[in-house]
Formats: sequence, structure tokens, C-alpha cells
Amino acid sequence: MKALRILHVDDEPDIREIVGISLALDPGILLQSCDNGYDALALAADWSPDVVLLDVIMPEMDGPQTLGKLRERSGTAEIPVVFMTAKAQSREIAYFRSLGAVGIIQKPFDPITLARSVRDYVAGCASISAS
Amino acid sequence: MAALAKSEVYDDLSARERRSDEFVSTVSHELRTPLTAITASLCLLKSGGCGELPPAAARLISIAHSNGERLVRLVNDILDLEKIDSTGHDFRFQAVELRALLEAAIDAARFLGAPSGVELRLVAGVSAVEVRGDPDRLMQIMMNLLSNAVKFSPPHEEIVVGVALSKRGVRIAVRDRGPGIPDDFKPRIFERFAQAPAKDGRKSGTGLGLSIVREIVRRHGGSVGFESVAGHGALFWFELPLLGDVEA
Repeated sequence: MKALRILHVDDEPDIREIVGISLALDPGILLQSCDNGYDALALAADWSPDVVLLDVIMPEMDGPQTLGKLRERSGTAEIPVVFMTAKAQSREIAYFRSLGAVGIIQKPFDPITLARSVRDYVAGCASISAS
Repeated sequence: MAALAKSEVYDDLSARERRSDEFVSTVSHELRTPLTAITASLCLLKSGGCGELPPAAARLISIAHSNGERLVRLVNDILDLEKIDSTGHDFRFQAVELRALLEAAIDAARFLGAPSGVELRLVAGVSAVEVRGDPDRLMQIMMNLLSNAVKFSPPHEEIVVGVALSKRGVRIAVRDRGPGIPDDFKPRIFERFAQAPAKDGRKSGTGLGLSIVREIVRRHGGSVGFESVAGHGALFWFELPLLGDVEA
């Protein structure tokens, strides 16, 4: 089975490490991570991940801005984005969805089911594209 | 869905509501981020995903994890109360068919009772009844009442959810067969951070669940109350105005 390539973007090093350990529970996942939106744009273009897991609050370029830049570039415009956020108000969730995120994972997240959640969002996205 | 400008998200809020919204949003982020690191790390250790732990260490990790989760619930409840207190805009009122909502709540709460063999059952005195409400908030009321009922139920007992017409509309009640509410605790039961003493002396709740229930019911134009005789269980009820016709 082809590995699922995930790019994780979060400015908090502890969260990056924990997400790395959590996703490593699924041997079918390949992970790259970075701590800011600029590196995310470069990595997304070079590595072509199947999905980007994107933090919302980051200095300089936040998650929504990073998503906007990904969508502007032809090589990355179609990559599904899942927001990981500690912001959980219904108003905020509606805003993130309106930006085109295929999913939202709220922090604190369950590390045991994180890989499954990401796979489900990617599968849902693929089924929409195929229909 | 068309992308919303961030300003559009806040257009319909007053200045006070906007300040509250930003406060909740900022506090939520600042508290949840370290809590994510703590609870996720403990969860990974507890699951054995990082190797087998000696029994004493496993027990300590388990205690730390359950307290971390309690802290998450506390943060959620405090922020939720702040939102309910300061804004009315987070409620999305619509026609809600109550029986279907109660069945969904019972289904969602069954896993809470399963470990101790506590069963949940619906006894409906009406076949269909609609209220004007926010379905998510009504579900929140039911989950708070049902989790309380499970917490205080003896093993293998039954919790009964009833729904019936009342003078003011419709009354929903949750009855458990637990120890009941001590008389000296009754006057404080809906106060914030009030908690009845648990059997083992440990506090597992936040002491905010019933306050949240009361505030949500109030926002729906309803009322809330309880009946209990020490040693004979407790019955919590809330009443909501009816939306339209009722099939008896």
C-alpha cells in the first residue's frame, strides 16, 4: 500500500514532537514537519504531500494565510489541508471551513486516533473528488 | 462554501460580545496548547505506545492523565460559561424534535454507563414534540445530566429519561437510583464549582455542569429543578416552551 505523506506545520516544538510520535503509530505514514508557513509552502511544493496538517496560530504567517498561499500556487492548490487548532468556538470552526479546510482537529487531540482521523479526512476528500 | 472574511465572522457582534469572543479565543489557545502536550504525552505513555511501564509508574501516569483530562474539561466549562454569560449569539435556535434528540443523547451516553453495567432507557409520554432550541446546546444539557446520573448510579442500575407534557410546555426528566442529594448540598447544587462529595473522596467533575445546564435552559426560556430524598436517588428535570402542535 502506498504510504500517506503528511506535512505537519506547527510553531510549537513539543506539539510537533508529539504529533510525530502519534503518527508513527501508523507504519503507513510518511511525515515531514516544519515550524512556519514559509517553510510549509516550500516543502509542499518540493515534497507534494497528500495532506497538510496546519496549525492556526503561528507568528508571521498564520494557518489561514498559509492555506491561502497554498491555494494560489498551481503545484499546491489541490493539496487537502486539515487545521489543527486550540480555537474551538463554533464561529471559528465555521470560518476555518469556509476557507476550504477539509477537516478540523481540535486540540487537545487523541494521539491514539490521530492517524485514523487524518486518513478519514483524506479519504473523504478523495471520494468527493471522484464523484 | 464561500470563504468568509475574518471581519464578517464578527460583524453581528456588539463590542462587549466581541471582547468576550476574543477573550475566550485567546484563553482557549493559550491553555489548550500546553494541555495538548501534557494530555497527549500521558495518553501515549498510558497506552503502552512507548513501551511497558512498571506498575507503580503506570498507575501514576494514569492518575496524571485523568487529572489532565479533568483540567481540559474545566477549561472547556469555564470558557463555555463565559460565552453563555456574555453573548447570546452562539445559540442557533431552530425547531427541534425532542424525542429524536433524547434518543440520540441516550445513545451517545451509553458508553458512560457500560463499564459499570448501568443501563439508560427512554420513557416517552408523547410521541412527537417540538421545541424551539439549539440542538447542540440541548444535547449538552442531556449529556451533563446523564453523565451526572451515571456517576452516581450504583452498578447495574437503570437510569430513566422521561419526557411528558407539562403546564409550561414539555418536561424532560433524568432519574437515577444513586445515593440522592444530601440536604445540606441542595441549596448550592446549581452554584458554580459546587460539587457533592464523591464516594471515594475524589473529585472527577468540574462543579460547573449543572450551572451550565441552568444557564442554557434559561436561554431557552425554560426552568430547571430537581427532586431527591437522601438514599433514594435523584431526579433532575427541565421544562421548555413548546414550539407547535403536539401528538399525544
